[in-house]
Formats: sequence, C-alpha cells, structure tokens
Amino acid sequence: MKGNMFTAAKEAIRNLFRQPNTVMFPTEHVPLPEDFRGKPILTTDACALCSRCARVCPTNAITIEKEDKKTGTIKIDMGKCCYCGECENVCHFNAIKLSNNWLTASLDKESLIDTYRISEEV
Amino acid sequence: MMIVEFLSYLLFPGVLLTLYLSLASSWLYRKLVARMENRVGPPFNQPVFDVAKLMAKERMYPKKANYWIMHYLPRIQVGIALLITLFIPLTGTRGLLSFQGDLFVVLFLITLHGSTSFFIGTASRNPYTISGAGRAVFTEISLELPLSLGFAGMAVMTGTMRIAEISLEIDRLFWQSWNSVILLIPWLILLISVLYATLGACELNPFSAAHAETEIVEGWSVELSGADLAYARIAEYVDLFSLSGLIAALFLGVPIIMELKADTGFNQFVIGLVAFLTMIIKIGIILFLLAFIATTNSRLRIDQITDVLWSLILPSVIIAFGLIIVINIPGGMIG
Repeated sequence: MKGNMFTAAKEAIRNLFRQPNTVMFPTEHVPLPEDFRGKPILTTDACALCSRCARVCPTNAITIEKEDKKTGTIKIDMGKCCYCGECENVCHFNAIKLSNNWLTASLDKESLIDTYRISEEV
Repeated sequence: MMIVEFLSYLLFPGVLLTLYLSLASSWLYRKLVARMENRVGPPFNQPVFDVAKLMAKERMYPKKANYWIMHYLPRIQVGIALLITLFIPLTGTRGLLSFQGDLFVVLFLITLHGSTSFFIGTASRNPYTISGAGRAVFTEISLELPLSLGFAGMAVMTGTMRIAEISLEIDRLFWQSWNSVILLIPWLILLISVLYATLGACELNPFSAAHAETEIVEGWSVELSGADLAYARIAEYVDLFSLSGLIAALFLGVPIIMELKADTGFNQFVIGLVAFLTMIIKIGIILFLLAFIATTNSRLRIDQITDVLWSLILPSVIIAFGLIIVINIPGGMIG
C-alpha cells in the first residue's frame, strides 16, 4: 500500500513535466494512422458506373440510379456506412477511396447523403 | 462611503470576485489533476461555460419529489458557500467579515453546507439520490471532527478564535522567528489531516463515494437539472475555493509586513493588490496539494472512508492537538 502510494506520487509529479497523452480536442486533433478508414469519397472522373461497390456494400449505403450506360447518380449514405472499406477494395478504377475525414456528425439525416452525378461528357 | 462599502461587498473583494475565483480555482484543480494523470485537462474558464450551459437547460422534477427543497436548496447552498468566502482575508490582513470568534461561525457554516446535500438527496425520492444522500451524511459526520479539530488546533496554537488574528500570528510564529520550529510538527500533521477532510467536504477523490459516477450515477444530485444543477455545481466550486482559502489563511498566514506598512501611509491600493496576489498564490499551493492527494489516493468505498477518517485521520489530529497543548502550556517549550 505504502509502496503503491510512493510510486503513484512519483508518477504524478513526473507527469506534470511530460507531454500529455491527450490533445485539446476541437482545436487540436490526434494524428491519424496512414491506413485510417474515414468518409468514402468518390472521384466522378474515374467512375465507370460498374455498380461493384453498391453490390459489395454490406449495409447498402451506396445506391446507384443509372439513366443509361454512362450516366447516372451515386448516393452514399453516411448514416449507413460502416467504414469497412470493401468498396475501395473492389473498385477497379480507384474511383472510391476512404479519406481521413472522420468528423461526419450532422443534425439531419438528409445532409448525411452524399450525391455524385456521373455524366457522359466526362 | 456607503456606496464604496457596498461595492466592496459586491465586487472587490466581494461576492462577484469570489464567485469568479471559485470557478477559476475549480478549473485549476481539474487542470492539475488532469496533468498529473497525463491528460491535457479542460481549457481555461471551462467551469464558466459549464455553468452557463446548465443555466440554459430545461428543469425537470420527479412527480413525488419535494419541489421546494430541490429548487431552493441549491441556491441556499451557494449563499452559504459565498458567506464563508467573506471571512477569507483576500486583500489584506482581514476578510470582509471579521470578528472575535468568527472561526466558530465558519465551522458552523461548513457543517450547514455539508448537510444540505443530504436534504436535496432525500427530497428527490430516487433510490440513487437516497443512497448518495446517506453516503454524503456519513462522509460529513466522519470528516467533521478532523476538520473542526484541525482549525481549532490553529486557534489553540495562536491563542485566538479570530481568523485574521490567527493568520497574522502564524506569520509571526513561523516566518519571523525560529523559536517555534517545534510547532511545525503538529502544524504539518494538522495541515495534512485538514487537506484530507477538505477533499471529503468537497466530495472529491478519494472521498467521492457520495456521488460515485459509475456506481450510483451522480449520487444526491441525480434528479437536479438545469439551473438547479448549475447552482449545486457553483456551490461545489465555491466550497472548494472557500475551504482552500481558509486553509491558506489559517495555516500559511498572511504577511505581517502588509499591516505594518499600511500604518505608515504606504499606498493602500498597492498593499491590497500585493496581499491579494500573495493570497491567490497560497490558494494555488493548497489546490496543488489537494490535487496531488486526490490523484495519488485511489477512490474509497463508504466503509473505507469512515475507516480512514475515524481510525487514521482523527487520531493523528488528536495527537497533534495534544502536542500543541503540551508545547503551549505556560512555562512550556515556548512559554
């Protein structure tokens, strides 16, 4: 008991002069690892509307509305996304990628849906 | 002249200043605990934002609860705690309220403040609050004797019951002469015991069983919400500030040089400011010691709390008290 208290006292004083393990959150952020899985971002230029990502998505967060072979809309629902990264793995064109953005909180469900328009001209 | 006196009670060093200082000292305490636990801690003025947020929240009362007690007692708590702060000598050798025997009144007010949490808990009619209220009153009873005897020990050591005179005499005993070095032993024992008792009075670690967060949710304050909770929080902050201020005044004393120079026509304002800054530094030292004890001691169960306070802290206080009496008797070591 006495030994424990002495160790705790030593540690407490040492911690005062150490860099703290946590950061002041809204202004500072913890550095993210390289392979961090954040919000998926779609590059419309690269997308070929092949629907592989929509098929592989375990939570059906990605929906594709095709108008013709090369035109359509892709919607990614961030309320459903579980950040598994399957869509990124399956994409042949590297069109969909998981970014470092993890601050995706919102006050309404509609603003959680990202809509991307894929058109023929591109 | 009336207006100046009124403003001194309201602004400096009156209620508003002590209110802000209480919030700031609570921030300092939390920051120190966080840094000792290797966390970054809350940003400056966080308690002010906490209170402002709570003030704007909705108030709700359980059906069978006593509205009057739950609504008004937290406000009375703040009033009592602020009343204690008026006795602290913040800007000079004496506080705003100072009379012969004021230490007795302060001890009474501390007990009164401690017992209010019991009434809020039982008035809420919630199993958690009743359990928390029981624990609060157990802690209060156990810490009452060490705290009172600790303060009374200083009164016996200096031979007066007035806070202003005790703090001046402590300065004379310890900073002006080497005769009373032997009194440092009971002084140190009393200081450590009173610091432990203060942590109990403020319901901080290791004596936080009365509102154990992960066990009985928030103890006696579970059913408080909105402004009521904000006032209960403010009362806690002011309690921490007033008790650390009292310990700083009674155990560390106020510099006697202040009083001497004020008589010779030295600028009153500068002396007041210097005295104020010295007192703030002393309160900071006490808060550091409190944070250190709270960090290095693990949280105790209610039976362990009573055990520690009755069988470890109280006997050491009594021994120190006896030592002071033996040293102080006429013809004794100091004479």
